[in-house]
Amino acid sequence: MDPKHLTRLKEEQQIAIDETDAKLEQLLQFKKDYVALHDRLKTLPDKLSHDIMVPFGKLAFMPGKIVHTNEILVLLGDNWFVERSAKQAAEIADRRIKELENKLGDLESQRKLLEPRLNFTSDLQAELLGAAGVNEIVEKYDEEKEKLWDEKHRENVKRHKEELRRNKESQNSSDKREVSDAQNSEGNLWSRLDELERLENERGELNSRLSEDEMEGDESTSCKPPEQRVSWADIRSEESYKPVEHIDSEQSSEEGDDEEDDEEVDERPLIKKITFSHTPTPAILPHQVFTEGATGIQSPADIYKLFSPKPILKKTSVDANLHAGETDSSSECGASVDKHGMSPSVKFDMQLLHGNLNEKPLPEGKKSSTAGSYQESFTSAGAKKAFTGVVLEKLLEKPDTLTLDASSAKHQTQEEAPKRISKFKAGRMMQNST
Amino acid sequence: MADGVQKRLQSELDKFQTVQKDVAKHIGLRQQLEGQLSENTLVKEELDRLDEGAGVYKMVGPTLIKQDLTEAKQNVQKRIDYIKGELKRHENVIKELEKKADAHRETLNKLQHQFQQAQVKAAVKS
Repeated sequence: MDPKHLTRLKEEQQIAIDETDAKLEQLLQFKKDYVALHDRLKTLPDKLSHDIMVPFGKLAFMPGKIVHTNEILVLLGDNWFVERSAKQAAEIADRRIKELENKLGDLESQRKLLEPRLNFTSDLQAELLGAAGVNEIVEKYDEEKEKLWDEKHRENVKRHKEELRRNKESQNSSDKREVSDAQNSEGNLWSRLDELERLENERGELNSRLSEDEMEGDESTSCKPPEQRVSWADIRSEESYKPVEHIDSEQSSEEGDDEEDDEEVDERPLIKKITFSHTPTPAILPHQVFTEGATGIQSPADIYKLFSPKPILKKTSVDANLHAGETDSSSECGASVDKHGMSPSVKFDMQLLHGNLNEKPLPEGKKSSTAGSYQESFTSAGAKKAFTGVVLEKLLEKPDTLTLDASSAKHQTQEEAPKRISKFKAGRMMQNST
Repeated sequence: MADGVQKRLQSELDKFQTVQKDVAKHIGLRQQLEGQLSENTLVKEELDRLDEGAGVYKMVGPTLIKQDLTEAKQNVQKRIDYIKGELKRHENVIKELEKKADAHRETLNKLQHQFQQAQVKAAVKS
């Protein structure tokens, strides 16, 4: 801060204050005049005529009289005069006084604003000079020193970050241990749930709760022999029948349950393998389930018989053909269908299979065949179909193409698996193949 | 080379100064108009307060000429409108002049830079 600049600033501020003061004075004078005028106007009509000394030029006076004491010509401005009585003129004067007071108020506030500025600047100046015992902190800027400091700083930052990384890693390792413990405890929970369900089934509690059914509770229980215990383990095993959805039965364990946690599914198999076994139960056909109740759902397990778990990743058109059969089941369920006409769960199946097709060419044939067999078994079951034809997802809209034979489509799509094709091209290809 | 730049600098400076003068003049005019406008508004108010029959006089030179109240009101109103129009016109002119002044200022700066560079070169050469 240069003291010269400050003095210059002070000068300007002082000038502004002086101007305001001058205006203030002027207005005060005006106000004084108007007040005097007001008084004079009040007294003027008291007498019919006043004896006065009339000014005569600059330096002389003359005795005279004021007559017509009530007639007053008032200058309104811009060379306009108006004739008024004394009282009215007094009113005019009052109004003018009011206006002046307003202006005076404004000027006062302006002055109040300017004054502190000046005080502040003078204080600052005093500080600079060190008069008040306050010293200015000056940091000298040396380029070379700054560069050296920059390098040191960078090194320090690097070291710090490494330390943080090390700390994080040690934390992560401890966290991982905790996660695996948690999963172990999950397994324990599942087994516990299984036990409880078994108990309930034996006591017939579960069935008696479903009061919607017209059937008596006995019938429903009779339909379910004790061997056919419905447990979560069964559900998981049932899912294994659906080869489309998973490559390994191990991996499938989590899929059906967590529809929304798709991302985690990929990660969990890496951490933990879940093996299980189930009682060899006959495939519960849909029509059996339906006879039991209005909705046909007697236990949580039934849900999975009716509604296949649906992955939510997108399908490519290639894999759409492979899974044509599956959509029958999903369509009945009235599951949420996206604009491509595919249920989200099926998409994920495709993606997974798609990925697998890319990586492992050998098991391709196996999978597709199992898929085909599964489809056949499913369709042969005579399940209620919302749609008799074969639904091809996503990219194919023409009704003609929908009635393709699944197997032929399979062969074709296997060849083209890795390549994404546009709608129309796919359609054309379909037409060519048929 | 340096002389040429200097000449250009000089002429540019002159133009800039003339423009600035115009700006100042117009600003002054505008302020005057503003004063007149406020005055006439006051007059209008007072005239409105007047009841019929009161004498209104217009000062023309050393004489006072009697005017009709309604006529006087109309006159004052017209004057007010006229002043407003003038005010707007002046403001526009001021804006344009200021733009010109800015343009001139920029060219001046550029020329100054050039001039300084030319001087430095000359100094280096010599």
